[in-house]
Amino acid sequence: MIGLLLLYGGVALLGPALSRRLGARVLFLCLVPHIATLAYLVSAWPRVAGGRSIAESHEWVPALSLGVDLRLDAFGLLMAGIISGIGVAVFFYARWYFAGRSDLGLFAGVITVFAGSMVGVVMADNLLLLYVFWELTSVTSYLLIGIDHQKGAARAAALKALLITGMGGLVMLGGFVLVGRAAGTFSLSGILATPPSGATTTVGIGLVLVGAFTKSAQVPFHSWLPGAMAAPTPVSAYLHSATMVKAGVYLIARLAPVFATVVWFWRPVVLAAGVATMLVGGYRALRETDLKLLLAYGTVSQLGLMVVLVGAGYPDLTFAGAALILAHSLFKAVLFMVVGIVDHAAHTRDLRRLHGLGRRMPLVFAVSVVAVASMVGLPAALGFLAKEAAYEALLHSGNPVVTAAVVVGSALTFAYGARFLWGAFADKPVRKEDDVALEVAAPSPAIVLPSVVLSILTLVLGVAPALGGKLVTSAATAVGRTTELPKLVLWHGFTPALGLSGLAIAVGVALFLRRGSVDRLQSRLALPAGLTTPYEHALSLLNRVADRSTGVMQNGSLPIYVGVILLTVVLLPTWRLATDGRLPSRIEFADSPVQALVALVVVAAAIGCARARRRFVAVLLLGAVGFAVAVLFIMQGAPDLALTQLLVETLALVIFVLVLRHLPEQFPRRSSRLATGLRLGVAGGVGVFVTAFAIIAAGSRTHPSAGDGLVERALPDGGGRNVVNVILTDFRAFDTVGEITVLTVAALGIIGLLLARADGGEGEEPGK
Amino acid sequence: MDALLIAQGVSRFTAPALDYHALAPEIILTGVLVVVLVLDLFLDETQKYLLPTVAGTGVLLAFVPVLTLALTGDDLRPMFDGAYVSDNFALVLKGLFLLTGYVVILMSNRYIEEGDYHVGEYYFLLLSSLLGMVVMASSRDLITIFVALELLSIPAYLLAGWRKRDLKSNEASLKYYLLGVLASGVMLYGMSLVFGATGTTVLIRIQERLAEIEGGQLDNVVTVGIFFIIVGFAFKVSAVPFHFWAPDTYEGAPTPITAYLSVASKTAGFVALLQLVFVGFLGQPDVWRPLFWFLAAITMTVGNLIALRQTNIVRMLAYSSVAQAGYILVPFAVAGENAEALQSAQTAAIVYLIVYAAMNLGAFSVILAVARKTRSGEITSFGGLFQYAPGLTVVMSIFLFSLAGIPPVAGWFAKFVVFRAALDAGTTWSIVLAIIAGLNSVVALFYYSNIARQMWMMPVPDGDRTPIRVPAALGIALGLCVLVVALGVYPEPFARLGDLASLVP
Repeated sequence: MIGLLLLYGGVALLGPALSRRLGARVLFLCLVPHIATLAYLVSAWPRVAGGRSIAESHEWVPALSLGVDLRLDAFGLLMAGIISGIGVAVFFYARWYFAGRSDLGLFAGVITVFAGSMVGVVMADNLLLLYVFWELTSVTSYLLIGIDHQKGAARAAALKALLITGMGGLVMLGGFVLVGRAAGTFSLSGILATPPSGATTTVGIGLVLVGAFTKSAQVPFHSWLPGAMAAPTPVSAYLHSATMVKAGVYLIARLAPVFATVVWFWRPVVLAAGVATMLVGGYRALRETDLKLLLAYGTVSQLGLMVVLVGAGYPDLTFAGAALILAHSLFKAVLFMVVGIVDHAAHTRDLRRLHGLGRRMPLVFAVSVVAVASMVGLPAALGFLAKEAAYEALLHSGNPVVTAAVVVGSALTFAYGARFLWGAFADKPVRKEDDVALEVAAPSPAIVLPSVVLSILTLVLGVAPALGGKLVTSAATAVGRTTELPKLVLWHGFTPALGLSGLAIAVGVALFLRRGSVDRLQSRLALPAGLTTPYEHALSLLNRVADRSTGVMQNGSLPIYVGVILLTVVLLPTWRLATDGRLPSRIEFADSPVQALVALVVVAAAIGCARARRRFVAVLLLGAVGFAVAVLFIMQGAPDLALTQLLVETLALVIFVLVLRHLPEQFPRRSSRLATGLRLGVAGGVGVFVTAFAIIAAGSRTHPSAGDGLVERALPDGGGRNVVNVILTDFRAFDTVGEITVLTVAALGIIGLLLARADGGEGEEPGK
Repeated sequence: MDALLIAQGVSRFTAPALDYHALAPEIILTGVLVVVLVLDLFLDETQKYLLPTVAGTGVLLAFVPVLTLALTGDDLRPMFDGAYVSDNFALVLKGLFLLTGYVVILMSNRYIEEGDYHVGEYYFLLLSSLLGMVVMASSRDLITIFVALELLSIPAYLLAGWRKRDLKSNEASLKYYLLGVLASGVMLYGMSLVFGATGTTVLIRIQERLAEIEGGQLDNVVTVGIFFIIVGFAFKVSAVPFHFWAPDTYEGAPTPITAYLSVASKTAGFVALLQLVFVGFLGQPDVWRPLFWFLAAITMTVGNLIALRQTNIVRMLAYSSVAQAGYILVPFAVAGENAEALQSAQTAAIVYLIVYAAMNLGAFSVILAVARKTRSGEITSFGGLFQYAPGLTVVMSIFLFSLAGIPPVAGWFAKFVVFRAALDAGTTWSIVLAIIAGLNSVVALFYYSNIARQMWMMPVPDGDRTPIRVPAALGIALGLCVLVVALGVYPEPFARLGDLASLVP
């Protein structure tokens, strides 16, 4: 199996390289992995029939216990068969759809990667591996949607699809990790064999469901799928009907038999989402005038039905769901390909403008009739068998409300199916201004061929249920772990299920015939324009929040930056100090009255400095603060420290005075009371913190002062009575040597600079 | 330190034993930077192109002993009473720094010459800063860490303002310097407090002394000291709210230096934090975990939100790298009580650093290449890139999706190990943080995919579709990054490196 995945990867790399030479024929090359997959599946069939499975495992990231664990059972085989089989048809179709283009290399590569990832999704037996393939399909579909369109709407749609499915994917990863942790393994089959339970699992499964819903376009995440119709038709036919959107259905089907009972909200949530999707999709499909959008909403509706069927977790419903998955892939691919042909021929997809195509393209019309028959569930088509199985199962184990909803959904399906045929092919009066002179050339046989083949398949499987029945039964067995399953039968006799079918068709016919009234009703019910989808709400909310925080956080003002930093630095430890405020027993505020006096001078000068209007005064007062501190040092008995302080202060003062020449005399006017208050607050906070911290720090000495030891050893070790001198020249002699060296080097550098300047030589910026 | 030795009655001086093999990377790097400086004096203007070659070769030369050391076994090789250690952690990160430095030199190659900047001094300063980082990886001592930090920062302040005639570059340098000095001061104060409480600067001794404190009840002074030290490095890794310098500096600095600051300098900050937290303050998680939790949550969120609204691609990447720092802080915030969770957290941080380096350097290389043609830093200047530079577009998309954490390239693996670390810790707080990180990943997807959209789908803004010529050196840099990011398809080496580079015994 891994060989197949590698083959997809290899062809994807090879495709772009050969596209110049091959032109559109490069897509034939991309058929190779599909055909290989089909051949493999046929050969594997005897080994997986009847619910068995083949597993294989390769090492990937042992550190994470993440391996390439692949498992193929009949359900996986059904899905992989759809992916590669429809792939053959669509790629063949695309070769003619894009005929004459030579820039298909990237398209061929990306769509092959996509196909390989889809095969990976349905074969992966490790949740993380599944996630990897899942995200690959999201990214590649993003590129495929946007690959051929210059329209702004198409780009927005592609982005929307990526964001919604990407978001769903990340949420799903969270769910996988939670479920995997609860189960102690990331193996899908292992989790299903011994399902975990408990709060972690419940939350995890909830997250996984969100991921599956986004991918399979369930309400309320469905809005990306119609948007994605901006993609070229082969992409829509492949990704948005047959394969990618079924990934979510696939995952739900896998999990449902086990987790429908383990997780209390599974059935209500899944069934509600499925029913809502089915009805919303069907309703919208009746309104659309663009054939492709009509099909897109039809797909949304069908996906809802599939979720209802496979999501309940009952074997007979799963069986019907598997049959529907197969039938849907066949007929929806055909219908999309037909839309592409019509679009190519008539240069419009608007059903108000198309007319009379049925006479001009009889073959295309015929395959469409077969496909629509299958979609709406008319006898002799595969869809009928699936629908019958569904009604049968719903009557047997479904909930009456759900059953009723499915009947309504089927009626809608019939109505929009008929509307599709009527819109695309019927002879009908067309408004003058909408009339396009339909100079329709008959489509080339090659481009129709794939749809003919798929339609014949629909009919054959519909008439001879035994052929597909075995596959579907095996698939349902593999998922549901049960062998008591119904069979696909062409004629059940006059059963209640047939009655429901008939009822749905009758209502559908009525809906179609009264389409004028339906239209009017719909336009009256139409949502007001201001009401947007949750997606747009979320997006605009996010943008507003981002705008707000950008304005606050990125204003370019250094004082504000420093203020925020100071506040954080002060507040965080203050919180800590306040929660554990151990004060020292005795606090000494001053050693002598003179000290207190000098301290007062420091405070006064600092306040004066902050209030000064003229720069020069501020600088002088700042200097005063420094000099007063130096006096404090002297009184504390640290003349060397005081000396250093004096030197630094003097130097700073001189530099300030030099710079002041270039600055205005006065500070700019204070902006506002609020700003001043904020500054005052920050400064006050820092002051309070430093004071409090100084008091606490003074009281928490645990070790004896290092100074005592130095004084003690100065005479015996250093032979000097001046302790400071001994420290400088003896105890830390190396440091002193280093300092002297640095000073010397710096002095040499300054001399060099001065000499260069004196020579009038190469000053860096002569402008100044 | 000496004062204390004297107080303890140690007076005889014995020269410390030097392990020249372990010090070889530092020695070679020092030699090379001296060679570059001297060579610059004697080279003619027309021969200056030799300097980057010498610098690059020197960096690769320094990489050789890292390899031989790695091959000779996992000897700790402690020196100076444990203050300087050449263990696997140090080797892995030295390797990372050297390769990052090499890529930056490749990126600088044409850029600096074409900009008519001071070539010799540029590479000299770059190598000095790189030396500081290499030293940082081995430092297990407060003073050595501080020296390493200053050695890597001071040249970086200068390099940030290298476009001397550009006001923005001046602003970049000045803001970086002023805020950097403020942070250094705060950090140094914190170090002095920790030293005061423990009487030692060697991290492993600090760990022992702090463990000895009776009843585990830490003095407030130590707590504040640890806070301040972490705050100092929070500045270096541009964690919110100490990130203010980053966007302005990144935008104003020469682009290769921006790449260097956002990758190497940030990694150096994290390396110091790893050593401090996982060695020095290992026994005090209650002190630093809440702080890191707060920093991680606010850094991710603010970084991502502001990145959303940027129109300049370098600024956007600046905020994105702020947000990425938030993800890397997550393992710190959830580093668990037991050895396994600690190990998981540390591995996560290191793996993320390695992957982050490759993808961010790669993205900056593409920006450099594109800006050579468009002469613009606006995101819109990437419009329609696919039409005239398909190769660059594909490569850039790989980097962007990697940054967004979408499989199968390396970024998703890095993100995954971070999530795993958070879940391994298993506390309510850590799970909340994991959820915040998850939500942020979704937000990040918006702005990364916005660039992808520009490149793939928008029209070319000025209609100029002449292809981009990528200089050879830049091409090599790009190739290296792509190689690493593509390795994410088989991420086992990252996981091995992360496990190997363990500080936790």
